[in-house]
Amino acid sequence: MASTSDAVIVGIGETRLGKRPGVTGVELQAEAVMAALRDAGLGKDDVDGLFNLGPYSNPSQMYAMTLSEYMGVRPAVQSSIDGGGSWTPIYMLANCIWAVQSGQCSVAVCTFGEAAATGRPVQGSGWTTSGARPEYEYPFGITGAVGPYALIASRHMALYGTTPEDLGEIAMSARRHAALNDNAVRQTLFTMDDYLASRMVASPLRLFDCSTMVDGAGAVVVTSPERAADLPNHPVSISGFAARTSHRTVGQFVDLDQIELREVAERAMGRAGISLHDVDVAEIHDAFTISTLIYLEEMGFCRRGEGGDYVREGRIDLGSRCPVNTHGGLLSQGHVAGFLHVTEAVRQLRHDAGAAQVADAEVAMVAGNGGILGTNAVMILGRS
Amino acid sequence: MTGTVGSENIVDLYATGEQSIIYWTALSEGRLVLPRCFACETTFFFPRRWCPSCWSDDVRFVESLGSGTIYAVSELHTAFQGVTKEQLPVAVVIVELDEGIRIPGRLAKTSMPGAIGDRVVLRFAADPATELPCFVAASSDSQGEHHD
Repeated sequence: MASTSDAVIVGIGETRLGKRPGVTGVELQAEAVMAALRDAGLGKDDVDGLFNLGPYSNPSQMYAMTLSEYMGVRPAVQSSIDGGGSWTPIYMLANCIWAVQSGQCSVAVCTFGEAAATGRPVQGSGWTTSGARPEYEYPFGITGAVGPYALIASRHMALYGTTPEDLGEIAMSARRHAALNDNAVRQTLFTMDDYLASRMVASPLRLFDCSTMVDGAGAVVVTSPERAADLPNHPVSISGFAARTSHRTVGQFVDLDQIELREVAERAMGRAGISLHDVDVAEIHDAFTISTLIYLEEMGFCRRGEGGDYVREGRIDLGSRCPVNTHGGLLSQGHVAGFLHVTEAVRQLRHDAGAAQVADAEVAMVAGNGGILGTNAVMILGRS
Repeated sequence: MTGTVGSENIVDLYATGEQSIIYWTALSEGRLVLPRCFACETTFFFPRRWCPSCWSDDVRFVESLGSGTIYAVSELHTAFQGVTKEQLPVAVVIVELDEGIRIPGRLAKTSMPGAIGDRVVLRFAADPATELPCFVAASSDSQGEHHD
């Protein structure tokens, strides 16, 4: 894995999120890439590496070339990378680093975005991926994301006594953070009663447990430290990365105590030379509240089954020792598959996160899964 | 794929390859069969040509009684693929069969809500070729009455 000297993040870009009727996935990705390059002080002619992923809401093949063609760039290194969820941006960033440090390219950009709110050719009732029909599950109605996550949540509640209120705390915290973010879609604060009254989508998950589908995109620019020295932003280093895959479909879920996320987190932190106590801010996958809860437990922020107590004590809120999802997350900012977990982590480490700034943030963690906790990735970012 | 074009047969609707045709065909005949590796003596799910434990190709299907316990359960209040609005709410389950493996399925309306740890058994429809089986509470199995 790259050490801090191998490659650094020098630019981030986000499009405006929300409902943008008529906008297409490739337009959103191009907009985010251009914004990220502008932020980096770089331009079209500098890009020689490009990673992306086509829209889940409107599946399309060879989408890396679709974006290159649309933008009129001819990258030496490019590919689409698809592991789902927040795994995808983390793994794209790893590929950017490998491409830059090996000399295959000098400036690598990665992006994801889609018109998930308004650009669905097949209306899938939300939180679905129209390209996947797991043969042994969808005939029974187990498909997309929310049903499978709900099954995992039911198990967590039965084994550990986790309550709806525990999940509600995570949803409320995300909303409070989103209220501070100009580019968040859902900013109206709500109470626990509001949470409990929100409609059941797939028990035990209510509407407020589910992320917000938006039209939007994010992008990140990586280059060498030598080149970064001439660029305007404080470079952010990627000091550790690790991942592991176990399954694709919820029917093959490996059990809550077999996810191996602790091993992944420790491997990433070991490469960065840090421990959990060194993490100042964590941006954690939250397609549904239950994924954040499981990540907090399995990565060791608290013990297994004690995630409810942890969030009820305010330990993921701004002002705590290690706030979580300081931008509002997929739940309340909007679901751009975790790309904005990365842009937020970079803003925090640049000390440019506005009202959500974690004082003196030096180390950020971005962690997330793809599928139904079937592949997990953890990345450690540093200010220095 | 077998059967005629336009058929409502579950084999035609769902099977995707040689191994899965064996599985869905058995279901369409009112039998649950599970792939078993005779090299390492492991029963597994879902059907594959090679055992996921040892990669042996000595995989044969064995009959299952379809009885087990609920491993996970969710009541859907939104229509997704495989569910129509009119059917809501429906309960989907992952059941840990007595063979020690887990399979996804549907819980009969008469057995809802269902809880993790409940004993259930797979019950076939009157016409298993055109309607999927679903799990029912083990205590209600003696009825032999068809679900929803």
